[in-house]
Amino acid sequence: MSNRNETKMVVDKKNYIDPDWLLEIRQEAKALFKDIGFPNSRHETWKYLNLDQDLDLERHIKKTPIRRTERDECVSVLFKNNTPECESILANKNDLIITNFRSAYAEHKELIKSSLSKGLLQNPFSYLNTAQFDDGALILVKEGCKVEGPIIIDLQTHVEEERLKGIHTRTLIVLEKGASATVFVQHHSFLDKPEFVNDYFDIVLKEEATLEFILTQEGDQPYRFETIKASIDTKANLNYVSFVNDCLVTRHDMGVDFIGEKAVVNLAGIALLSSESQYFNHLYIDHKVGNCDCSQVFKTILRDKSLSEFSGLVVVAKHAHGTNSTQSNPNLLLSDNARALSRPQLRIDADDVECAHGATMGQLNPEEVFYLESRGLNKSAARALLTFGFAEDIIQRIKQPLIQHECDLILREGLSSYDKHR
Amino acid sequence: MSLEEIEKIAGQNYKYGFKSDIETEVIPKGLNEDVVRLISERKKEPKFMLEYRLKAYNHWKTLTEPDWTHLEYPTIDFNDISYYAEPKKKEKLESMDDVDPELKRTFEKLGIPIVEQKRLANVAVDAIFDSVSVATTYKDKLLEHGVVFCPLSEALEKYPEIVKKYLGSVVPHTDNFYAALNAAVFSEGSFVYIPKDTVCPMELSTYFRINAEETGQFERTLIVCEENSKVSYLEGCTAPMFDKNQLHAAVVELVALDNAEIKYSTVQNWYAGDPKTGKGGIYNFVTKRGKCAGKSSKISWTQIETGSAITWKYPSCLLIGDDSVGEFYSVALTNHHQQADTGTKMYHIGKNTKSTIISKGISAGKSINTYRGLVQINKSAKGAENFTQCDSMLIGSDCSANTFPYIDVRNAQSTLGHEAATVKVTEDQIHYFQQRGINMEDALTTIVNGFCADVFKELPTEFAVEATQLLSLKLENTVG
Amino acid sequence: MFNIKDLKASIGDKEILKGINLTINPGEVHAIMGPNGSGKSTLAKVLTGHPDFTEAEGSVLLKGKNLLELDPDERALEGLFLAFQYPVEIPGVNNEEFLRMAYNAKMKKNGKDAVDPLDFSDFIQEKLAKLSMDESFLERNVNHGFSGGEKKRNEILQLLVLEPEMVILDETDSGLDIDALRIVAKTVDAYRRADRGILVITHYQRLLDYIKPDIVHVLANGKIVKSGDKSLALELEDKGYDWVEAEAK
Repeated sequence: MSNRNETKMVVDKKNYIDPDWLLEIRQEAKALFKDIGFPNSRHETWKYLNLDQDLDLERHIKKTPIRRTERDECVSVLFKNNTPECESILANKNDLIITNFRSAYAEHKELIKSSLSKGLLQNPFSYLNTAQFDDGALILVKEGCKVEGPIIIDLQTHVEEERLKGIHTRTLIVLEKGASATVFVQHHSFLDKPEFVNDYFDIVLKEEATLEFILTQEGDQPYRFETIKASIDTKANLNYVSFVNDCLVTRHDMGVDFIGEKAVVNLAGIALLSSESQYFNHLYIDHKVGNCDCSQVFKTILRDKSLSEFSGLVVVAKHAHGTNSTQSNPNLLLSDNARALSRPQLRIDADDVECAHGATMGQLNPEEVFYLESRGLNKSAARALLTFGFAEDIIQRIKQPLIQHECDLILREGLSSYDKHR
Repeated sequence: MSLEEIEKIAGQNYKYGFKSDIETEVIPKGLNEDVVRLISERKKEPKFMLEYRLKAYNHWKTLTEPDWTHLEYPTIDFNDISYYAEPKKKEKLESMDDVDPELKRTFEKLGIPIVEQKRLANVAVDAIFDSVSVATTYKDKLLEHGVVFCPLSEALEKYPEIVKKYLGSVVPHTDNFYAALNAAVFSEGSFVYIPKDTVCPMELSTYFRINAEETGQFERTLIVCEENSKVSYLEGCTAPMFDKNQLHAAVVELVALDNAEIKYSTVQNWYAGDPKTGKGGIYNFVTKRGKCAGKSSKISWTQIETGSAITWKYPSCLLIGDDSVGEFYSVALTNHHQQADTGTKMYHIGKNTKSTIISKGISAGKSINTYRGLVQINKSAKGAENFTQCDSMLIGSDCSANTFPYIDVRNAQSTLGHEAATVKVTEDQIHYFQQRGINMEDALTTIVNGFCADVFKELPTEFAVEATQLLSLKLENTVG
Repeated sequence: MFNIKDLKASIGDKEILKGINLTINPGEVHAIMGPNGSGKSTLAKVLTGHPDFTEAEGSVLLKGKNLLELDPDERALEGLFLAFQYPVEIPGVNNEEFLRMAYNAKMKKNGKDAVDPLDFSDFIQEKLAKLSMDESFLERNVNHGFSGGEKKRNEILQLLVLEPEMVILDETDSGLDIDALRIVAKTVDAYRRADRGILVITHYQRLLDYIKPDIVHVLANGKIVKSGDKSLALELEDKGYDWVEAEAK
C-alpha cells in the first residue's frame, strides 16, 4: 500500500446545507433530547455524574502526547474537532470505502439514514450528537473483504478561533457479510481550553463479519462521552477492548444488540484512574435472539480521589434460549479516598440460558505481593508488577499485534508512576 | 415427559385460604387524623405515642408512593382500606382458655398451637389476628429469665421507656412511604426485650393472620437485645383468599448492643392471589432493618418468601459497631402471577464489619422475581468484608428473573465479592431421578430444595422442615 | 424376561435405531458392542425413556409389560436400571437422601413402608463397603464435583441399593482406572443371579474379562449385525469393527 493515493474529500463548508431528510432527523433528535432532558442526579444512570459540578476544568487540561508508531500499513480517518478528513485508498476502492457523510449522502443514503435514526435509550447525548454533529465518517467494508492493517480513527481537538459549543463526532462502521477489519480509535488534544466531547460510533456487523474495535482514551478533555452502539447479526464476531488512561470525566455507553443467532461478542476494558478522575461505564447487552455468546470483563484501578461506576445490564428476551453471558467487574482500590460503584444487572425472561456476573472490590493479594518479595523484589516493585498484570490481562485481549504493542507501551508508561506510589 | 411440560403450571390450592367466621369490629375505611387518634385511643396509648403517630401521619401526607421497583400493580387507594380491625369478643384475656374458640380453631387449622397444652416444645408464640394480638404463650416462663415477649401495645403500657427509646430508632418514620404509613397507623406487633447477659431460653415466634376483608395489616415489631444476649425469632404469615388485594405494610426494628446476637427468620405464606387470574392476594410492602449498634454484635435475617401477590422487602443491616456481622439468607419462590422484589441492604460503617448475602430466587409460572440489594462500605469501615451470592432458577418460559445489585465501596482496605448466576433444571437431571424410580414432581422439588439448601440450613430446625414442605407445596403441579 | 422387538428410534428425520431385536432370559448376561455412532448410547436412552426419544417404535417388554408405554420413573419401578455413561451432577441434593428417596419409591411401589434415615444408614454402610467407597460419599451432593471414576462407582452403589432385575451398563468402564474397574466389574459380576438380567453396553472388551457374557451382539448402523459367544468380543478387540460392518453390508 506504499503507493496509496490520498484523496482529501473537500466539501465546500460555507455553502453546504444538510439534505431535507437529515434536517428532519436532526429535528426529531433534538426533540427527543429535550424530552429526556439534560441528565441530572435524579436519573438512575446519571446518579453519580454531576454535570454541574464546580470543577476547575482548566486545571485539568492535559495535552495528550502524540503517539505515532509505524503506521505505513494503516488507513486513517482524522477528525479535526467536528470534521472528518478521510483518506481513501484507490487500490481498495471497491472493497473498502472510507468517506465523509457529506460525500456519501447520495450514494449511501439509506445506510446513513438508518444509522442516524436510532439512538441509545437513556442516553440523551446520543440524541444530542445526532442533532449537532457537523459531518460524519463512514467506513464501509464490502462483502467478503478482509482489511489487513488497522483502520485508525484519530479524534483530534484543536483550538478554534471561536470557543466551540461541544464537539460531536459521528462514525458509522459497516461490515458486510463475511468482511473483517480492525478499527483503532485514539484521541489527541491540542487544546488549552476545556471542551465537551461527545463521540458516537455506530457499528453494524452483518452475517459472519468480524470486527476488532479498540478504543483508547488519554488525559484530554474534561468531559469525554463515548457512545458505542453495535448491532450484531448471525455468526458475526466482535472483539472490543477499551483502554481509559486517566481522563477527568469519561462516560462510556455501550449497547450491543444481538439480532442474529450464533454471534460471539467479547467486550473488555481497563481503566487507570488517579487524581480526581471519574469513569462511568455503562453497558446494555440485549439478547434479542438466542444462541449467542457474550463475555464482558471490565477492570478498574483506582487511586487518589478517583471514582468509577460500572453498570452492566444484560437483558435476555423471552425465547432467546441458549444465550450465554458472563460478566465480571474487578476493581482494584488503591486509595482510601477513591470510590468504586458496581451494578452488574441481569434481566432474564428465558429459562434455557446461562448467565453469570460477578464483581469484586479489593486490593492486591498480600500473598502474591509476599511471593514476589520473597523472590527479591521490593514491596513497591512487587505491587507495581501485580498491578501491571491485572491490567495487562485486558491489553492482551487485543489481537492486532501493532495496536496491542502500542497499548502495552501506554500501559507501562501509565503504570510507571505506581512504583513510587505506595 | 419433557421439561416443556413443566410449563404446564397449575398450582395447588392455597391451604390457608379459609376465612374464619369471627365477629370483627372494623373501623370505617379511610385515613385521616381522626383515624390515627382513634387507633391510639383504642389501644390506650401514652401521649408520646399519639404524638409520634401524628408526626408520622403528617409526614406521610407529603410523600408519594414509590415507583422505582420492578413491580406492576394498580394504584392503591389508601382511602379504600380500613386501618383497624379486631375480633369483637375480647376484653382482657386472663388465660389462654379465654381465647375465642373459633379463633383457637383458626390458629389450629394454621398449625399454630396457641393453647399451651398443645404448644410447640420450646417455642413461644405470639398470635396476631388482624390488628390484635390474641395470645402469647410462655410469657411467664420467659419473664423468669427477664425476657419480655408480649404484644407491642402491652409493652407500651408496661415498658413505655424502652419502647420510647427504641421505637423508630432504626426505621424512622421519615424512612419511606410505607414506613411512614406504618408509624401512623400500626395496630399491633410483637415486642421482645432480652436483658443483659441473657440467652433467650426458647425460640420466639409470632404468627400473623389477616382475616378481615379490606383491612390493612400494619404490625410493628421491635426487638432489643442488650449486651451479651441472644435471641432467635421467627414470624409466620397467612391470610384468607379474597378477590380484593389486601395491604400489609409492616415495620420490623432490631437493635443489637455489644456482643448481642439476633436471628430473625420469616416464613411468609400470605395468600398470593388467584393462580389463574392473579386476582386478589396480599401486597406485602415491608420495611425491616436491624441495627448492629454494639461492638461484635450480629444480626442475621433468614427469609423464606413464598406468598403474597407482591412482595417488596429488603431486610437490612446497619453495621455500626466495630466487628459487627450482618447476614441475609433468602429464598424467594414466585409462581403464577406473583411478583417479588426483595433483597437486602448492608451498610458497613464500623471497622472490620462483615456481611454475607445468600439469595436464591426461583421463578415459575408467569411470575417475576427480582433480587435487589445494596452493599455500601463506607470510608470509616476499614477492613470490611462482604460476600454476596445470588442465584436464580427459572422454571418454565413465561417467568422472569432479575438481579440488580448495587455495590459502593469507599475505602481501600475492604474486600467484596459478588457472584450471581442462573441455574436451570435440566432434562437430564429430571431423567436421572426418574430412572431411579422417583417421579418428576418429587424430582423437581428435590432439585429446588437442593438449590435452596444453603439458606434452609440457617433456619431454626423446627422450621426448616416446614420450609421444605412449603416449597414442595408451592411447586406442586408445576410439572406434569 | 427382557424382550426388545423391532425397536426403532429417530432424531428428527434421522433414524438411529433401525429395528433392534434382542431377548435376554433370566440369569443371562448380554453384551452389546459396536463402533462409535452405531447407536449404543441411543439404545440406552430409548430403553429408559429419555425425553430426547419419546417417540420410539416397536416394543420393549420387561416381565411382560411394554416399557415404551410407561414414564421413565414407572419403567424404573418395574425393575429397569441404567448405569449412565455420563451421570448428571445434581448440586444441592444430598447423595444419601437421594438414595433413600429412590429406595423408598421402590418400597412404596411394593406396598412396603418407607425406611427411616437411621435404618437406611445401616443398610447403606454395607453396600459402601462392597465397593470400597468412603462414607464421605454419602455426605456429598449427587455426582456433584465427583471424578469420572467416582461417578461410575456411585452408579453401581445405586444398583446395589435398588436391586433391580434388569440392569443396563452404558460404557461403565470408561473413565475408570484399572483398580476401580476391577472393583466395579467384580461387584456387577457378583450381582448376577438366576432371576436377573444384565446388558453390558461397551466399546472395549476389557470389562467382559470380569463380567463374562453369555452372548455378545455387535451393533452397527442401528442394527444388530452379528451375535455370538464371548469369543466374538475377543475377535472384535483383535480385528476391529470394520469386518463386521463390511460383512453386514
